[in-house]
Amino acid sequence: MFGLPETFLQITLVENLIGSYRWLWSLSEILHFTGLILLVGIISIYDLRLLGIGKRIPVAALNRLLPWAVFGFCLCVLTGLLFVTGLWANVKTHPMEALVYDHFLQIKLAFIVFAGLNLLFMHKSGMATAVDELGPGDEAPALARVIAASSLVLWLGVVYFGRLVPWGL
Amino acid sequence: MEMLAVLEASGFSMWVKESSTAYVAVLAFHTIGLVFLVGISTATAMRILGIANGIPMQAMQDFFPLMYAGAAINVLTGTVLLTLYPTKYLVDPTFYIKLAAIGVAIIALRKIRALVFDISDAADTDSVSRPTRTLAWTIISAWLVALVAGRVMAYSVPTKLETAAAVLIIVVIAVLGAQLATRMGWVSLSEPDS
Repeated sequence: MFGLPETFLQITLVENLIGSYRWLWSLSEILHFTGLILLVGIISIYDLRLLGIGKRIPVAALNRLLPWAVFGFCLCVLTGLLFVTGLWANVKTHPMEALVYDHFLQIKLAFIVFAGLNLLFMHKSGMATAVDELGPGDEAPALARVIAASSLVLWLGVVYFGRLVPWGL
Repeated sequence: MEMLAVLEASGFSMWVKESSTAYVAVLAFHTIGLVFLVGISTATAMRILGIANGIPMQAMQDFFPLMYAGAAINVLTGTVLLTLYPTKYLVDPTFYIKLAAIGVAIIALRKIRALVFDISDAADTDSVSRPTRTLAWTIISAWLVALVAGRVMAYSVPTKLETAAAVLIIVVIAVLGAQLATRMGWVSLSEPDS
């Protein structure tokens, strides 16, 4: 597969840990869901404000919640890496096989990349700065609303297809 | 029990179980509902606890319809999931722990609504009363219990107990770490009124 060995991305230490401590997988699932709730819950609030819900809120005030969304993202990435590198110990599937054959995982990862590009575009287009200045009752520029709607759809897609990943293995 | 077995073998239940598309769609929508319901209520609790004080308190309820939508999705998808394997879920104490935790979270949310949102804009201050803060912590704790119980339902009893113990240890470490961070002045939360 892509000239890479089948065992690429497998980490023996993680596999041994998962094999020895069954609770590590379920604990990681709980942390993954916790991260998801923080990340997508807070992003939804931010995006909805830009889309016109909760217009009484000055957008800059929502920035105080964003570090928690980042924390949620980090939780998801760390536990996600554990799922990938220790996959063999749990379901006897090589991570490379999962990446090549699991369409749900591919769609989820693609959505995460698009969500990242969407965020990058928000900063590069100057919309991140523009929306920071929106006070109570102010409407977000049309471009910011498009970016917010895309973000909402992409992250909900990540949640939806992410839940389907075990069925694509 | 016989009635549950009949339900489990009913046409609808068998159709969902045999149609992998329908089954996983129900599961996936259950997660989307979870994100809306728990995400919005947790953010509201965080605002009450003094994180993001700049957000006008009353404005948080503008997002409540999304929270209710999440609750509706989860009642619907949760009922479908229950009808698939009632003989398994209804004899599992973990299921009742999950239901009880959801009940506690909803009661705490309703009380917060009455204390904070169903009154005048006078509640729009940076500090809130101690009972309201207790309710906010109750919401966060109850959702965590519901999340843990819901997830470990798929595992054996020893794994359930070990997972719960691991979560408890993480929570204790997080609470001690937060107290240390507050005392050292690394983070600041608003103080209660009284």
